[in-house]
Amino acid sequence: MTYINMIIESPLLRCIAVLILAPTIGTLLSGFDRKFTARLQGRVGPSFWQPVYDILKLFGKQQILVHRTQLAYAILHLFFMMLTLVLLVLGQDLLMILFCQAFSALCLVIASMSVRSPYSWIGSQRKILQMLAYEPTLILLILAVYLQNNSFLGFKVLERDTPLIYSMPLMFISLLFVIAIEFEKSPFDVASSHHAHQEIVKGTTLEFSGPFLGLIEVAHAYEMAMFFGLMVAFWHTSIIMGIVLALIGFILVLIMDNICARLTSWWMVRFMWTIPLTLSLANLIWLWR
Amino acid sequence: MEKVISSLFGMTHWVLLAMVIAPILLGGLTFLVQKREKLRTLLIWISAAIVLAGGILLVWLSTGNEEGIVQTWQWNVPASIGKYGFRLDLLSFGLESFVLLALLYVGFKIENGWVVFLGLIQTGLAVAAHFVGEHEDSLVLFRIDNLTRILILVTAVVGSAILIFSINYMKEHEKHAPEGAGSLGRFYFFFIGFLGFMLGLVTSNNFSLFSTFWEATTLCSYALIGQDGGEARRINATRALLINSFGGVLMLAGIFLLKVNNCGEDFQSLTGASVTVLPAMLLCMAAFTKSALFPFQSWLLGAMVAPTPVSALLHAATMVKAGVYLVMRISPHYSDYKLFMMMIAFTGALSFAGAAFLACTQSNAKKVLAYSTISNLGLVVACAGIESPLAYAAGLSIITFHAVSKGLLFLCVGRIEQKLGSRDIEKMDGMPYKMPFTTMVAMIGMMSMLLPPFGMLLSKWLAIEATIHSPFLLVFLATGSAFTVYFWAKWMGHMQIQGYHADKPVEEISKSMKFSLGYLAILVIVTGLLTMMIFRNVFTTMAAETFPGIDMVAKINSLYHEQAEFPSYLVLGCLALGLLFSAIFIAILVKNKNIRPPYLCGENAITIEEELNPEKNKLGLRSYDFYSAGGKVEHAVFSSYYFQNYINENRVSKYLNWISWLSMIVLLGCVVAAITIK
Amino acid sequence: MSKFTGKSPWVVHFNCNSCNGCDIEFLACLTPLYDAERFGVLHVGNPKHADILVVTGSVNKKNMHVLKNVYDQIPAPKAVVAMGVCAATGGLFADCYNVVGGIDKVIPVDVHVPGCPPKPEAMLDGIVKAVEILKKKTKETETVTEELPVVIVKPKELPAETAAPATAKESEK
Repeated sequence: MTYINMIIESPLLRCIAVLILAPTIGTLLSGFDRKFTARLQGRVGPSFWQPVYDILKLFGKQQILVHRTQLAYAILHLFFMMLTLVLLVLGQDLLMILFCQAFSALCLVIASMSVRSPYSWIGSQRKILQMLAYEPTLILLILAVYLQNNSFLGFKVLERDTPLIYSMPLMFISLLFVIAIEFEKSPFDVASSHHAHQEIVKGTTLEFSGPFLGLIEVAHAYEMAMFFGLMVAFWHTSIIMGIVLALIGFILVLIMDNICARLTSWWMVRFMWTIPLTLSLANLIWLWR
Repeated sequence: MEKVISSLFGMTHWVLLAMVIAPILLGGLTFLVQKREKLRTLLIWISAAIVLAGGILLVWLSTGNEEGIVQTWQWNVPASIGKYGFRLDLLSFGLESFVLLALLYVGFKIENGWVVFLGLIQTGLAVAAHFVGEHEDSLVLFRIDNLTRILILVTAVVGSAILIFSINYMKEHEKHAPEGAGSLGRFYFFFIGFLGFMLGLVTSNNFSLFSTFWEATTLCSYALIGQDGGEARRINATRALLINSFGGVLMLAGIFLLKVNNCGEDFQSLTGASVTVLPAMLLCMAAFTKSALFPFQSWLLGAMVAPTPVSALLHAATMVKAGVYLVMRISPHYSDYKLFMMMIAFTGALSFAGAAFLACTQSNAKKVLAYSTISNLGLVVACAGIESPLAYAAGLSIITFHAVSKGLLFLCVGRIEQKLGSRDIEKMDGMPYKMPFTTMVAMIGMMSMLLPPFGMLLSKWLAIEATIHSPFLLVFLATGSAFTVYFWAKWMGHMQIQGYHADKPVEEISKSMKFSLGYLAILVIVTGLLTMMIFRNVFTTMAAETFPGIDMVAKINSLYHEQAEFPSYLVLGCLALGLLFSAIFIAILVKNKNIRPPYLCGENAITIEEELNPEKNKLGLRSYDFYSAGGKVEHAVFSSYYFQNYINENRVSKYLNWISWLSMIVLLGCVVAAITIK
Repeated sequence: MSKFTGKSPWVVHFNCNSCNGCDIEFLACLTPLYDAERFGVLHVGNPKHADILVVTGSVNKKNMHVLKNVYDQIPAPKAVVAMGVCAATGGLFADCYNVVGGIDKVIPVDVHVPGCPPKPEAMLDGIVKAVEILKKKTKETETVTEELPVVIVKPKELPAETAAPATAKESEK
């Protein structure tokens, strides 16, 4: 126990621990996702560790590239995703964390726009639309947190007595939609889906192969862990309840993924700017002081 | 007389006078020697050096630090001098009349009734303002405080860089100039002269002087927009003149009202007393015309037909800043009038979101930049209207960082336009190979608009945090910031499209261009590195000093300590590490044998050998060429979404204009209510 | 790393010149009924993510460069499965005027799965065989194919630069 306390108390160790743990959590989550989907479809499915195998395999493959710049942006994408997580663990300003996350996504967009591949191009165009769709909702979420804590700092959330979910249930619902977009789940998986034969093949990640695809997958694992962590933070007073809540949220997203077809990107923007945004606004109104 | 002479004795006075007059003289000199290229170039370099050195010197000389508070420097003169009581304000009035007469002359020359009409009203108001009311015993002609210092620095630093850039740009531009274009001498006369006027504008305190410089910048802008001749430019130049003259009328009306009520004739008269609210509002509206906020945005968009250095200097980095400067000057005194300030903030926020939205629908690079400028100016005005020291500091930092980044971006677009023959973002393909230096610099500029440690994002962040208590504005800021990301991302992606090249790209670029671009880019990076420090040490202090009362300082500290803790070194470290790792990986991993063309369903026309060895590629195939039906070679076209099927720019502008006109009317209503109820 | 290569074989399938019989059968074989994902098999859409290339149908003069390109774009280590008789020898189409033959005329093949079309069990078996071969390969294995058996006639000229799309008009109003 003393070791755990030591890790929790020292910011540096905490960051290192999270940087190691987060991809594990993220890959486990996507392993859970694949298993869960397989069970819903009435089959056995791969093992829980399948995403880990996939990533490790990718790192052992030949480094095929289209050009140099692509690699630089892929690395920036990963690094800024890691930074986002580090800032979150350090309890930093939430709005700035959001901007770091946006920049990370932007790096992926630029990387996939820079190759002259039509599929990847369309994928990245849709990825920007996705960012356009969820960004206002996330900003409002953070503002709602401010209204309760009088602070933008992340660690102030942990000092509260009551869980956030009591006061921000609607925000949690709109966060689920944001998460569905971030995890590329139907009906929002317009930019790059996990299914093979969609109209733009694989969208944003199309031109990355081998270890570079591995980098992007690791970044995605970080992202999953981060958003899972955000869901847990909605019930921070009890870590078990938090994880239960986050898992419920995650399973809801997975069920939506399995019962929905992919819809158009414009539908996505219209939807996100109407229902989740208005839900968040409605939630903001009753938090107003 | 002795008093005037003794008042002139300070070094600062001389530097100030020189800074205002020297550019105008140098501009005239350049006009005279325009045919002799070497001399002309030398003169431009000298002017750039003088503007830069003088600006920094002026700021340094005028800064006296006493008891930890940066002092305001003033130039006081007695109202009348000499045996016969020669009134000094006649001098400034004379200057004002001269500029107004010039405006009238232009109106008559282009035979535009509206310009003449507005000019006549302005002249009438100016004369009336001069003769009504009581005159004060002593005049404060010039005044340099913190806000002014920032604008002086911006004008000097960015202005000199743009001036240097224009040397080669205009030389090239003249070769392809259309029939009926103005001469280079004419261009430089207005261009260099403008710097003097701008410095005069931000330093002058007396209203006559202020409106003199205000109108002079309008005239310069008019002359420079019409530089290349032709119908479209004439129309746009006239529109700019008309809208700015309308702004001039509003401003002079405000000044007149101040004089009628015996409030005084300089900025100190805007004390926040209820009688000055209406004039303050009129001045704010005049500022909106200058800053091209909605509903006055059309002139700035039209002004993009001017040569690029003009767009860079006047319409992005400096002149439009005069408007927000005025708003920031006025707003701290009127925090009691909540509704008034809220409407100001609303107009700004509407421009922020609306212009960012419209920028998404544009593929013309200069228009995107113009909309982005309007958007950022809107954010400054919103910050000024929020009435918190934090927002005020954010506004100050936007003015500074935006000027540098936007100046840089405009110069890059100018260079790209000259080389590609197009300012269309869709045509910017393979830029990293065609013009590696310009692309790199442009990417730095665009990154500085979005990337966390850089000033622009920091300011936006603070602005959002400061608006937390006005829900109305919040929605605008949240959506506007999403739109901002959207249009920059599209453009950045276009700038980075490229194929694989085994050889190292080289770019032919003249030394002066490289110097000015590199200078601004380094400035962007350095300010980016020091953002938090600059913000902590400069802008917050300035904002705290601007808002009177010790509780404000306490408030800023309480609000501020959270942001101060932000570890921006982490972000920078992450960026540096990312770039370092990329460099290492690129050096180790990128080998020719690992290069493959992009996936085109296997129908790539180019083979791997051809991609790697350009000499084997006899047909000149590109990596995005593919075989279509019948063995024909076709190539993929990359185009972004511009919402064209959903959104018509003109119609949306119409709606936005209507809303902003309504908000102007509400603003008037608020002020009338404030006066009558108080 | 070869351990993990065997655990997550990602398959891309390419219909070369087939009658679509093998094609439909192969895709049907990857549906939940046979649950190929329990071996870690993922059906990916493009060669850049794939480990195993499954080819159905024979090669003809018009598409051999496509097959070569697709093969070349797969990062090593990689394996090729020739699905059905046409892919193995040219099958029914072997004597056609335009057919070059089985896919081994263009790219190296690791596993041949006979049948017209093969049974789903045979297909899965073929992929599992390919996985076994894949495990032995390393990323240093030669990846670029040899010269094509038939010379491709390239067109004389390139298309003109396309005008900017209608969305991107310069407006100078």
